[in-house]
Amino acid sequence: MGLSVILGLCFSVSVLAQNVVTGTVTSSDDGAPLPGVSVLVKGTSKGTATDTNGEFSISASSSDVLIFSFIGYAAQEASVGSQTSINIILAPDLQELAEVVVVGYGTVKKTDLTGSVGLVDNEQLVKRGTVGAVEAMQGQVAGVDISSSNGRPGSNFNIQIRGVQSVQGGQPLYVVDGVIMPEGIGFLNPQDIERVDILKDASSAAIYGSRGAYGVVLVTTKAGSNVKQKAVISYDGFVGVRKAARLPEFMDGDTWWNWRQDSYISDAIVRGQAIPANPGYNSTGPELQRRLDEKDYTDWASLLIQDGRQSNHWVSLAGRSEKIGYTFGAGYQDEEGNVGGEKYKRYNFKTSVDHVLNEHWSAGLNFNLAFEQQDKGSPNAMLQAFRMNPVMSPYDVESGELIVSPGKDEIAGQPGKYHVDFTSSVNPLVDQKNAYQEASATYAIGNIFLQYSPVSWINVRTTLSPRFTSKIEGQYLGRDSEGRVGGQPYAQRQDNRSYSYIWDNQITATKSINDHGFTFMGLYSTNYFVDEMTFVAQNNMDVSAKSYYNIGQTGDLTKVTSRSEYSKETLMSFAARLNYAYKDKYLVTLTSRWDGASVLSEGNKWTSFPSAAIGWKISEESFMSDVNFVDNLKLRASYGFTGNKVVAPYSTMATASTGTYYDFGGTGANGLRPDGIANQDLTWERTGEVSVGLDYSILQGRVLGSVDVYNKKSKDLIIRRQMPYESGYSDVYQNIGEVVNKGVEVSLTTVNVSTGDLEWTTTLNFAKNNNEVTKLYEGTDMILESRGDGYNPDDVIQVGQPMGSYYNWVTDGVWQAGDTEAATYGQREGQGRVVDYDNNDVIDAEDKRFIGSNLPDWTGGFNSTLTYKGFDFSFSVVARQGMTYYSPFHAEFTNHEDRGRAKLDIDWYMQDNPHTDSRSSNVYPQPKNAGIYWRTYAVGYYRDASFVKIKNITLGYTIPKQLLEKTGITHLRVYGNVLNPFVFTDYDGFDPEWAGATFANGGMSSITYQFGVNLKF
Amino acid sequence: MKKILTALCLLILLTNCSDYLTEENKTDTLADQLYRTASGFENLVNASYSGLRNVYAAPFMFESGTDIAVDGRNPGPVGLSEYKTLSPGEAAVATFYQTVYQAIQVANTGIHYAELTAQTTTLPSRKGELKFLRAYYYFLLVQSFGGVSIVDDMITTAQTAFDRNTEEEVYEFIISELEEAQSLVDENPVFGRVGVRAVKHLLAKVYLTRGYLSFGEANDFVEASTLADEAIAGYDLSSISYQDLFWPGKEKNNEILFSIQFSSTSLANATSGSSQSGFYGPYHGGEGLAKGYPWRSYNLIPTSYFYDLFNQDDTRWEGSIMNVMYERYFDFYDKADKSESKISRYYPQAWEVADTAAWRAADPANRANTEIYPYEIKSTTPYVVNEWEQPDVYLDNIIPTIRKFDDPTAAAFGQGSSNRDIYLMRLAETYLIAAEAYLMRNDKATAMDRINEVKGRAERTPGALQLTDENDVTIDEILDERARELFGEYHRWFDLKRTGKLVERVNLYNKDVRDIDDAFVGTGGNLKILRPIPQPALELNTNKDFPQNPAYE
Repeated sequence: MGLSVILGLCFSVSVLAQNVVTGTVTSSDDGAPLPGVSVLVKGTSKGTATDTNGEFSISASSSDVLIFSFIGYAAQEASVGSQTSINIILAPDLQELAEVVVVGYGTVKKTDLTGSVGLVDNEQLVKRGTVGAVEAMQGQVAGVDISSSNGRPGSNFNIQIRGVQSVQGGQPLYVVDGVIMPEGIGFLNPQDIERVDILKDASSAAIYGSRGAYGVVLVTTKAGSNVKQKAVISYDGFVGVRKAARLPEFMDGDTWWNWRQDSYISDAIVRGQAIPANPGYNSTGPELQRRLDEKDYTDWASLLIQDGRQSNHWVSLAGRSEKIGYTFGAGYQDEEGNVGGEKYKRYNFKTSVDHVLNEHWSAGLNFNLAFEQQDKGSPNAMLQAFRMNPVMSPYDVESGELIVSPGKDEIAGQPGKYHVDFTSSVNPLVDQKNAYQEASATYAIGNIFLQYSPVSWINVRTTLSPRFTSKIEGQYLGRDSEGRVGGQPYAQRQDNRSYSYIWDNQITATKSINDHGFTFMGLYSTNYFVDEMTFVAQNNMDVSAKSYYNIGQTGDLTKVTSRSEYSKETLMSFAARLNYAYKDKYLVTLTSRWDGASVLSEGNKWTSFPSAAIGWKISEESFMSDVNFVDNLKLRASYGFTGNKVVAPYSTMATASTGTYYDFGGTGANGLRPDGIANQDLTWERTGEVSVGLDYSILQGRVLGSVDVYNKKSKDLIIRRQMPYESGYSDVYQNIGEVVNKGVEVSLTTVNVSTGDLEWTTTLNFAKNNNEVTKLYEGTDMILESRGDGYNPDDVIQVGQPMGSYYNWVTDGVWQAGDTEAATYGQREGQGRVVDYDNNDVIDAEDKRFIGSNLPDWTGGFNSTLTYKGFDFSFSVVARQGMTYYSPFHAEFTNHEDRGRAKLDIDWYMQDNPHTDSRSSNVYPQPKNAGIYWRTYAVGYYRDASFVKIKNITLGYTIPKQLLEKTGITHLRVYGNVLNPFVFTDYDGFDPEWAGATFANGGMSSITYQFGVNLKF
Repeated sequence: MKKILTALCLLILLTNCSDYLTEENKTDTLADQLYRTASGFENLVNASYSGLRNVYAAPFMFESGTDIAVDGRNPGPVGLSEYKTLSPGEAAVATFYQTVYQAIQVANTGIHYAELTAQTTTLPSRKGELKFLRAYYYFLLVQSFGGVSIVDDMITTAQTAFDRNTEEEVYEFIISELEEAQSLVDENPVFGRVGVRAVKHLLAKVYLTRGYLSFGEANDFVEASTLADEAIAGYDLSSISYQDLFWPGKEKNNEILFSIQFSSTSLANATSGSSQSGFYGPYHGGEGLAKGYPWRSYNLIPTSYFYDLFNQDDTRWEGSIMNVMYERYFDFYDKADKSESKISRYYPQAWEVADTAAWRAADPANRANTEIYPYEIKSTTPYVVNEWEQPDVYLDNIIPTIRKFDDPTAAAFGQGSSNRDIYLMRLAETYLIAAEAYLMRNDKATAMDRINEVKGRAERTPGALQLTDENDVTIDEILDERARELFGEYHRWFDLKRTGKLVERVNLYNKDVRDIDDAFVGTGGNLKILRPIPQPALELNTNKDFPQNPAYE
């Protein structure tokens, strides 16, 4: 039997005439020849590929059909017949990129996807004109909540996917070209990112096992393997101006002086003392009075605020020559902040080469290198600039020079007597010149792979992905800087180095048998991470010391301190995934990953993370064949487990490295005490998630999108359990506690207008997540977990409430004159009142309430793009609603205890007194008499930070091709873009997006105006 | 396919599972390995001593709400300074309770490893030192709270239930531990370490304190006086003057039996030193390092009663107070020739006020522009209140400042910048313990001898302060003498509590407390003589049969 088949084949080959067919394959795009196009004789394995000129030559018989296929283009078939020359024009398959979804260790067609995965492509990323890619992703994918932690150049962005699941916090797993990046993706130039796929549900993320619980962000940079065409050089760039915007309203000089006098008067009244004759005056000589009389006030903030610059340049070369595809790129970005000394610069270099060696073997490498330099300026100058009151002047009264302590302008010849006498804080204009903080970082990541296909349906691939990052942070505080006046300079420097490798070995098999389609992926992977740190600092350096580059060389060497640390973590994993499709209608995906981890103790090291998902393409059913307006309808459902990897190395070991300091009669006797109680049983936090989704596309793609609902329970949360005081230890980490996140996500894209020249598309997405803590440890329904915002006794995790909750007394006004009830509560006129919920005439723990949570009630995004002929106009909107924060800004600038610093322009209460006018307010109490609830328990500083931001508005124009013909330029677009032009919010601090940031970390809001060019040769 | 599988198996073998997943820790040492070595054990003992720095980081549990100190411009914990609002929620009490137990646990770990670690010649003494430290901490607890939980085991698991022992049991534990320590520690220790005299001093005080209590034993005062005399061991106070005793840089002297060490070479950073100097007196301004003056918090200022305890024969007035303040404050310490040093402020005492003009005229070059803030009675009815205790406005520098703890060599400006040791036990106090013990034994003559030794050093002219009538030796006289001698040295609240004089004297001499009706009266009419067991301690303890103290239930 076998023999006869072979003979038959030989015979058939020998009788049909073989002709040589030649031809050229070009792209319909620009008519350019396409190299590397696969030319295959249908039904055989006989084939070739086009050369650099897009030409091919193949022998075929007249009955043969040739198939021309190329990634990114729609395949074409051509019958040979009598032709000896066949020229083919391939049309790009524009949908194809979007049609494929990267799912981790592989891709699937979007139509076959069973999980919940969001995509942001290059166009969306670069359109916004942001310096970092994450900011450009804001509001683009439903359920992916992105927010900034501050307003300074080079700031960090947080990503929360489908809610918060851990007391320990968490960020998604960032994977850049297969390299796990604990640092995130801020180091990449957005121009270099091909696409970002976000695995949102547990069934998708389960392939990353113990690291998947916070979702996975898969970044694919531009790679040689995706390049189709002959060499193209492109340039993309913009320049911009960054202006400080939406500055809060501060009190003017007169109002501020009124506040100051009121505070002195209040103080005397409260203490039962005589009201001073000249309240608020505590200086000598006429200068202070002159300034008040002449209204010679200083707007300190305006002295420090400046316009910043911004630019981004990216040049790349990408091409394909037969079997080799390549991309090279280089980029430069810089941004200057709105406070002098704040700068950010980044340099990127990338190389990606892909070589198809022959029909069995291929190999390639990707390499990304980035250098980052962040100048943060003085750690105190901006803070002091906003704190300095309008009555102080930066200049010395006698000399007219900048004065070190503007609050202590000494009268010449009268030591200890001052023109103005407020504070010893350093003049920010002086501090700025004498103190600075810097950070620089290097990122080098890459991968090398070798792939072998023994038969067409099996791929075996081994990938080695090394990563090296290094970060240096330095700080120098000179003599004339805040906190060091009269002392000697201080400097510190911290070096962090991190290196890792991941070695992935995977096998992928794809096979269809009749109606059954299978894809199997098996993985064996080892991961190795090492972090090292060195810290050096010196107090009392010599006055000649000017930087942190000469620590240990000058001054008092006994004041040098140093520290070094090492931490290593290894992971060994096996994973398997099976995709099965029946009749291309019913889809099943089964996934499991087994992770073994060094950080868990013996016997607990291995954990498995299984998941299952099904899909049903309803639109493929026969009963839908008459429903013409539906293009595509698919129902997805999944259930799976992922882990949140928050056990730090060595946390199951009882160690003793807490240094203690002592001496005996001057002889050093430093010690080491136990670090705490080690919990040997620690394991990963584990999240189980049910997710159901519906993908739809109707009216020939004019309306498309998806709806997802999910319910996930995270348990074994690692919580720092407070220990009884008598144990001598404050806490121990245990796997206790549960939190549930439930939510809905909707996305909708509509093509509103599509005529020949005019096209208008909008996309809308919305996500609502409900977060609820459902369990803590026995006997406890609330724990304190400081969020470090300045007042921490209110930071609670409470059963029945969302994470990020505040718990405190509730302020509801100010005790007015004649409110006799005030005395019942031990309070008096002018003081801030809180609600006595149980009306028992005592404010006690029972009267505390849940104030709010810093998690949003809902998030959303809206994008609109309108194109008309060469013009394009688009804008994007980001919304975050329902967050409550303890606002450190308000704690600072509405502080009623303080009377020497600038204040937010608020209406305050002032009781009747012989010196100043009384004032009414039922919101802000009397200065220096705010009462215990404002003063000690900070009840007055919670703010709703909901906002809607117009993220950007762009207007572009693409120069018609015919005008460019003779220039060699194939594409030229110019555009103007405004970033963050409008913010709609009730929050009156700097920016609602970082309302929770401490003052030192936050910063001003800004608007950036950009002009840019996209150019291709 | 087979080849691929073989290759895969080889790959897996390349990385041996069990080795690959073993933790490698190059930074930290495993506690059990470290403490079994001689040097590691020594580290643990040092860490145990270091706990004292944490326990004594804030003065409020020791000095607030007493007859000799009130809050200045900046209030301390109000519950501690005014009693009325003292509740189990008072954070300062909780911090103290927690910090002391943390120090106890380090000592427990040390005592545990004393049995397991490498044998050395110093091991017995170290064990004795640890036992002393642990007993010292329990003594602080039992005086503050009454009975507490005696935890004497090393804790390695998440133990969450603790029982409350009785006050009597805690005293028995302390005494038996100190008896053992006495036989272990060195006779003549390295300066800073615990020696036999320090153990005897503490034991004397423990017996003295227990003697007052209902379960005190008949012999307690005898034990106390005997031990105090043994701790005195024939030393008198003549070796160092009061001024020198508190002169910066002279902390290592014969008078000191035990002190918390704060050498500048042993600080984590410039502000992790002693805070003692920062708490007593007015704020001077914010430019200290540049202008040469110390930082002060304006927290605890002396009462009128304290100022009135001195007369012109007592050198402890100038020895404790910076009554003449130079334009550059630290000139007082580090400038030998002060003929060019202008005096910015002068605080004449009651007996100096009349001569103020003459004082200024004596050195017009330096005193012409001196601001003078004299002792001035503000009111006498119903109590004596002077301007220094209650100025109209709490401005910088307008009231005298305690200078005993000044450190002109501090490398930083602010709380915790002092490099000076905190004296916990010194010979003058040993004499006063002896005096009190003899008085309680009704041996007033010996008691008078012991007091006069302390007065003898302080008096400007020999005999001027001496007691001559043994009937003048009373508990009040002893408390007054302790105030003059030991102001700010973290004894006062315990002294008042021990002698049963807390309510009486605080109601008489503390302006903030006496203005409040029934300041000490808590729930059920009970007096707030003990501190409350902190609410978080009760909540975190899974043993709910842990009673709160009376007055706070």
